[in-house]
Amino acid sequence: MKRLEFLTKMRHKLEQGGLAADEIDDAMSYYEELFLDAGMTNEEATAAQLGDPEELAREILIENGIHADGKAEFMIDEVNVPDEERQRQNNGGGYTYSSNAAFSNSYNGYSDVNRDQAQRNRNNFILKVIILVLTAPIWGGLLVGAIGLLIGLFAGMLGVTIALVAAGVGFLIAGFATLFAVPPIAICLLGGGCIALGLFGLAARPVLGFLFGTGIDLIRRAVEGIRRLLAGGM
Amino acid sequence: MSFPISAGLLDSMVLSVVEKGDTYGYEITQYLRKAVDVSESTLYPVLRRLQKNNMLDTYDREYMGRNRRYYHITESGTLALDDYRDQWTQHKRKVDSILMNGGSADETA
Repeated sequence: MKRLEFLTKMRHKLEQGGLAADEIDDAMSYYEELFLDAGMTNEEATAAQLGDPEELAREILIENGIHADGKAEFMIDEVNVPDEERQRQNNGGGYTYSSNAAFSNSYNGYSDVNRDQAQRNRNNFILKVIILVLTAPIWGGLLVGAIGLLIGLFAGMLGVTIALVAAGVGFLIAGFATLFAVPPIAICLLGGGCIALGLFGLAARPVLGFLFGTGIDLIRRAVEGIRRLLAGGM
Repeated sequence: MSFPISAGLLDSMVLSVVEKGDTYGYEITQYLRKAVDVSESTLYPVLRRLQKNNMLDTYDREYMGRNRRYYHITESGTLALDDYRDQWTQHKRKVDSILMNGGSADETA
């Protein structure tokens, strides 16, 4: 296996496990550096020495408190074991203390902390929903008003655009119809029709683009905002 | 015959290598390989753990057009290493007093 294949497999596994992006970058740059320091011609040998990239990724995930089966159960920001505690763990068992036992010990500790955190998040969520429902009369009116205003604005812009087309076509038809009966008026009508269609030509792209682009974007952002409000930490 | 290496022992050996002078991942591995059968794979979690526990600092230097991450021992890293060395010495003396002295725990041997 070459360097690229190795690193790609490893990154894939780490991403699958939901490891934080900066942790992934740190691990990847460490292993990439090892490959480069070992030499371009030794890539196969280096990869063989390192072993299975997915197994390595699993170890890194476990070290970061993520279950090894690739499913992210919880994440920890910082591994904060006080020095004393760490010393006790390291020295307690003397030198027969296997490294795996040390890992799983600390791992259990973090897991408790994170369960508490998860419980708190759930409580926060329920509290937020209750507050939202209780204050509905206040923000409900404002929200409906704001949505109405937006719809009105959008409809107005769409209306003006459509009106330009209608007026342009109408003037042109009327102009041709009266062309021989009342030539001066017909020429005015034709000119007006051309102006209206010209304005439509100028306005159509930006206005329609704005209506569709912004409209969809606004709806998406509103949905995202509500979701974050409900789910996000305090 | 291979003796098990504990997490604490491995941590301390890494600290000891870095204590001699700032160095980078590949070099640390090469040093450790002289003494114990440790693959690069087990070293990354160790370095990461030591960093998170403020035993090691890192900084990047450019080397042949790419980055190389150097490790530097912190003050608390030095203290932890001294502490471990003391305990290791005591532990070794106790084991030796039995193992090298025909089974008698007489430490004056």
